[in-house]
Amino acid sequence: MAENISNSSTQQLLALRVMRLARPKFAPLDGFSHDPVDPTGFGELLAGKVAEISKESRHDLPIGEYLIAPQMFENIYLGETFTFYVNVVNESESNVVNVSLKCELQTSTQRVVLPCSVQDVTIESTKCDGQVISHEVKEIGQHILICSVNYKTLSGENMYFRKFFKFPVSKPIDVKTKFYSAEDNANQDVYLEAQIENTSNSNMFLERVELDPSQHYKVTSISHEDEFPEVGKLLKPKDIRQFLFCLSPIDVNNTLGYKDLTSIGKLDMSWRTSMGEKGRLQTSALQRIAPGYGDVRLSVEKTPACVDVQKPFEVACRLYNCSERALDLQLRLEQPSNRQLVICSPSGVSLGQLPPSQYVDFALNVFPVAVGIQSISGIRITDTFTKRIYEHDDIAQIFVS
Amino acid sequence: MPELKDKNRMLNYDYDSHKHLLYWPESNRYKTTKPETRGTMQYTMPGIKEEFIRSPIDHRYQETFTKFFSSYDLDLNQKGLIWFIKKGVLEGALNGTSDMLTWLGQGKDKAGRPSEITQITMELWTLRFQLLLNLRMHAQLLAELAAFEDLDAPDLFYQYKSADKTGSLVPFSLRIIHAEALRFSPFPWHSMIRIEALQSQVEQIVNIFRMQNAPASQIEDWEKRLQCVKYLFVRVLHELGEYKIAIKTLDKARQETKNQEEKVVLTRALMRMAMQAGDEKAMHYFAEKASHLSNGTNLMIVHKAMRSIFLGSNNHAQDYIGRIKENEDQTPQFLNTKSIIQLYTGRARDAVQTISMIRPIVPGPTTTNLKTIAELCYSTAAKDELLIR
Repeated sequence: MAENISNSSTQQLLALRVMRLARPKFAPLDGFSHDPVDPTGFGELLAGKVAEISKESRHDLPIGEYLIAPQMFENIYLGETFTFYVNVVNESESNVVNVSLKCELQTSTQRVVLPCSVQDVTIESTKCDGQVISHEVKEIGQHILICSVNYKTLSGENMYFRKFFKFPVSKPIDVKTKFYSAEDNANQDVYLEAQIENTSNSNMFLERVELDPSQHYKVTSISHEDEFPEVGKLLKPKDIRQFLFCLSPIDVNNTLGYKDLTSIGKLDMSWRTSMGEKGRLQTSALQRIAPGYGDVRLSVEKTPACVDVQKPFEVACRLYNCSERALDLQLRLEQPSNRQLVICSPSGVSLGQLPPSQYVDFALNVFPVAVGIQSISGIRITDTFTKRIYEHDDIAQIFVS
Repeated sequence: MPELKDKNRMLNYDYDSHKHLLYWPESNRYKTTKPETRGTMQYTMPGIKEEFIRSPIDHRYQETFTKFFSSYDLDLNQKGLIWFIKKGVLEGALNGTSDMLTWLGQGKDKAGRPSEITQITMELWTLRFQLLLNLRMHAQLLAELAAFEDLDAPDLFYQYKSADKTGSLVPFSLRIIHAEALRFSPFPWHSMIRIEALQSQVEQIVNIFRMQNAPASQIEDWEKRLQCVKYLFVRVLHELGEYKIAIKTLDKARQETKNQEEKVVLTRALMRMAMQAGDEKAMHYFAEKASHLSNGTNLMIVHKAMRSIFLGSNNHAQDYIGRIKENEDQTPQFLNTKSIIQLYTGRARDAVQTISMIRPIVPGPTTTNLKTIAELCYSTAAKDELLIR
């Protein structure tokens, strides 16, 4: 932390010490491997001495056994918790009374007072008083920790000094999202691909990446089995990991609701870095552009997957009015030119008045003429008021054998 | 200890009783030499690199150094090497190897010039490289190691000069350092190629010994070497930041080892590796395994306390560490962990008192912690007094 001292014109009796308590690390180990059956014995002698000096029992393994307190102010990222130890040390040879410590965190938008219990205390000579304070970092950019100390000397003189500690906060991850609409005549599912990039300088393990869906959707996470199931999801600096979610509307019959279905939900991500330093971020509500269905939407409700040739079958259809006005609709059937599936239902039938957000069901009788995968086409819906024709081709595929 | 093995014959150990340890398949370079020319050509010409300044020794040891290294006397010189290593004055031992190699014709300015490659010179070079590694003199290590190329030169085989001896003059420790050394070069990943090749060669030798129905003790010796190479593989991978493969490889070694004590050590090491990386899932996995193997032991309690620190639950860590009474365990590992927990629970002065109990105070993580924590909570005068004590 960059440190600035203010109001220090007079000799202060107290000193303020601040240490960021990032998680303790394992002390770096100088690895040393030697021949376990060395005929000279020098390797063993040297390894023994090295172990004695370092106090580590093994130098042939990648990690030691000693935790080490933070030696520097490491990078801190949005979503992590800033924890620090603040201590007021009496450097004088006399007691100091009414010592009060105030800690504030200044960001570009606000100044937060951090809870501090060092209030009106007496600190004896060479003794200290302090505490550990934690604060969740919710903003990026320059942060300034301001520590103010008020106290009285034994002669009754009021003393005051402040210290400033500047540190930057940056974004640990970058999230890019893509939507894939699978909405067709069969379902209204939406797929969300989230690309999460580690923009920090250290490895991170993604512990949780969940989509908190909006009220209109239920969500299923589509994930694959990891290569090493007992190891977490590692994301090295600049690495990108993709996550896929399938969102299905809770109300599958929603016809008007497409405009409401633009809000998908929020991505909730939590991770750990070295020694379990935890971070958590949530995106703002993800929005998507609703697919343009026009005024009517045709959905195939029921159809066989396989049929025998020259045996008629039925296809159940549902027609939604997605417009904001009532529609007077007429069903017309055009026979496809190749005539591999012949629609045997009457054409030109009126489907009646259909109010907004309502639907009407109708059935098609189809006669398969040729074998193979055949597609149902030729459904024409006419709005008798505007004379507009809605064409529906390839609404379903059937295997004819 | 070496002295117990053979008081005066360390570098010049007996060939016959260590023959199986010197076994090494002939290299392609050796095989391509004409039998009639064998022994005439010199391929390996090492020498001390003169651009590096001789390591300074503390003046207190200068007289002792002169006593041991006034001229070439193998027995006396060996005693000197042992003395300096035991004292922890590695610079003294390093300078001892410099003098000995100089007397043997491989000193400064001798690289690239013919000199006699013997068991003693090769063992001296090996010890020298081990010392350079531990003194972190990596540039000098790489420079001097270069003369040994890929350790496959014909003159590095006993049979090149002597008809009645076979095997390699290259000590196994030198092969280990040779494989690892590139980690300190601008191409650290190249060390993995060497380590993999070494592992494959040692596996091949273990199979040869098995097929030849060699005595079990000899097979066991080579299996120990194989395990050593596997650990080296994991260590270098971990240094290179390949956490996942490192952890999987060490886990495999853990599952394969029949030594129960080693299994416990490896499981706890894996737990710490997972913690260091930030991998909660793997940490729990190995913590469970370690707990199953060594539940209730003080070391396991210390590890559970570390796990609580990882999970951000310092009070739980305090509970765990409190289960061990100070008079019950005075190991530096325990005291250091306890001190860190005291720091993180807001008791910095207690932390200083705890870590001060570790003796002797020598440079290392515990002393670093002592200084760091004392800096936080002691007055300048009190801190100076503490560190002088």
